[in-house]
Amino acid sequence: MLFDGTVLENRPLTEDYNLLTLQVPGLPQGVMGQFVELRTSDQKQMLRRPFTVFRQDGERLTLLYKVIGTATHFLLSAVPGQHMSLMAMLGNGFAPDHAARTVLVGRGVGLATFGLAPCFFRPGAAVHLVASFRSPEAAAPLLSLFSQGYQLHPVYDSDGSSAPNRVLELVRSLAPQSCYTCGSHRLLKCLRELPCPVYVSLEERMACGIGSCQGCVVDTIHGYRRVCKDGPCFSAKEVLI
Amino acid sequence: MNVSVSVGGLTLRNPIMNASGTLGLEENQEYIDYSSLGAIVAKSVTLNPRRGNPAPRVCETEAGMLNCVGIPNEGYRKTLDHDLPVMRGLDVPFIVSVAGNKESEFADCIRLLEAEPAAAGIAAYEINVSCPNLEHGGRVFGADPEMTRHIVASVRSLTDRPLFVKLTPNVTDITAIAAAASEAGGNAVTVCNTFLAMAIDPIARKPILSNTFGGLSGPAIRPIVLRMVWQIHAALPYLPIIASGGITCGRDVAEYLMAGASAVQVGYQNFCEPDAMPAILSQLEALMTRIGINSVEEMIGCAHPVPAK
Repeated sequence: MLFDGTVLENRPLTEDYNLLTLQVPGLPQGVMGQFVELRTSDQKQMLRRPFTVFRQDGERLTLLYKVIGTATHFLLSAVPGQHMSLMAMLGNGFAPDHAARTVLVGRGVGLATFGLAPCFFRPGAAVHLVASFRSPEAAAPLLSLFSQGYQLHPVYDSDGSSAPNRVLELVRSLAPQSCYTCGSHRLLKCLRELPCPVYVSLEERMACGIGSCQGCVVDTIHGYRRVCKDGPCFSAKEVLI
Repeated sequence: MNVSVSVGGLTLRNPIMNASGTLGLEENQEYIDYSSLGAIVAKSVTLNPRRGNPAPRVCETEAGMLNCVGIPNEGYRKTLDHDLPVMRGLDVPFIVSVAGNKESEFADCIRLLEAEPAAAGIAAYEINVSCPNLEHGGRVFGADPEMTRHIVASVRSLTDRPLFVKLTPNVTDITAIAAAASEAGGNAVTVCNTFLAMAIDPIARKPILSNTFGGLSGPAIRPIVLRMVWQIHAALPYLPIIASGGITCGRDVAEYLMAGASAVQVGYQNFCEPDAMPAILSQLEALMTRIGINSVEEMIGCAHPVPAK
């Protein structure tokens, strides 16, 4: 459905990452892994951009974004009070999980996928977050967003701890009953070796975000599936990556 | 105000329809009241199922997008088993788009569709001749007047329903192809499909689209398509034209109508705004009021100079 959001706050977190909070009347509750398609400027002739739901408190929606191209650059200039059109909630979120111990593995802006984790898993579940960064300096502001409800395990390129085999070793040592990842195909291939169920939230270039254009496909054991409509959350066993 | 139009034997309540492949019958239903449209064009079907191309299939450009989706579809049966049941009860003409990679595939597909009683729900066919002919080195059917003529003639004898021939713009003289489509029995031409194009990711040092090349659509192509519509109307004033290329607002529709189109298709803009088409119609109506035109039919080709008597 289409919604009219109003910007409440748009603030930089680091040189690369920003947080945008919108008030969206009528916004349905999102599930971890679902996303919105946001029109990032007044230009109706530009494609919307998909953003995973990072945090949601009723009608208050927060997105974590990284400036990559023109559309996200427009977002930087969004000011409180500005109206922004969005389509929500889109895609299939992760299916309910009753694991007592789970591990989430993500990197950079992909960590936004796990912003709803504390309310997604059952109360009392141990939620471990393996968060990958270039360096400890790059990690600090993002890690501060995950201070409550997660047991943090930062890993870094700078000391080699973010290498896929090292991450796999770390995840194994946490003995999870389920594991979630996003974005990186290299990590997904590695994590598929775990004995527990592994789930992934995929990214792909999208046009419409609702399944009409068939632009964002991933190959699966069932044939091509649309990341926006059939995903973005899949079982790692399904996807042929 | 009268916004109804007649296109190649089909009467539409207004000139706005979607371009094939840009509207999912179920996906878009929550955003648009289909009965507010002039017609709905289905995604292209082929005789047999096709997987389409791998990702990345789409890429945004400065004023539009590239796609190499590759007509993924479940084969012609999808029209019968899925699309027509969804359309039943909806008060809007349904146009079935047919594609193929062999000359005989178009006719086989339409023959099989016409053999079913459910085909009564089909208002017209759009023949997508912008596909490569795999029996002749991959040359696009619609790039050759004779191949276009053969395909249209081969399906003409199989159905009484209107045939709209969707032309490719990647040709030297589109009027020659339009003439061939008309002479072979096409009731109208859709002008046009996407422009062959590409994009490169300089960081990865490789083409962005999986297929290297894709079709450019969106506002970037509109002035070029407008020129093609103008030329076809000037050369073949009796041939109805459905214009398709970068329409984002009512003014764009007016330009196409005045260049000689009888109806239009909205494509790229449906991806930006899932409720774009009803808004575009409202803008067209507002513009007509402002410039004192009471009927869409009155606008068709009105920008062309009146021939001297």
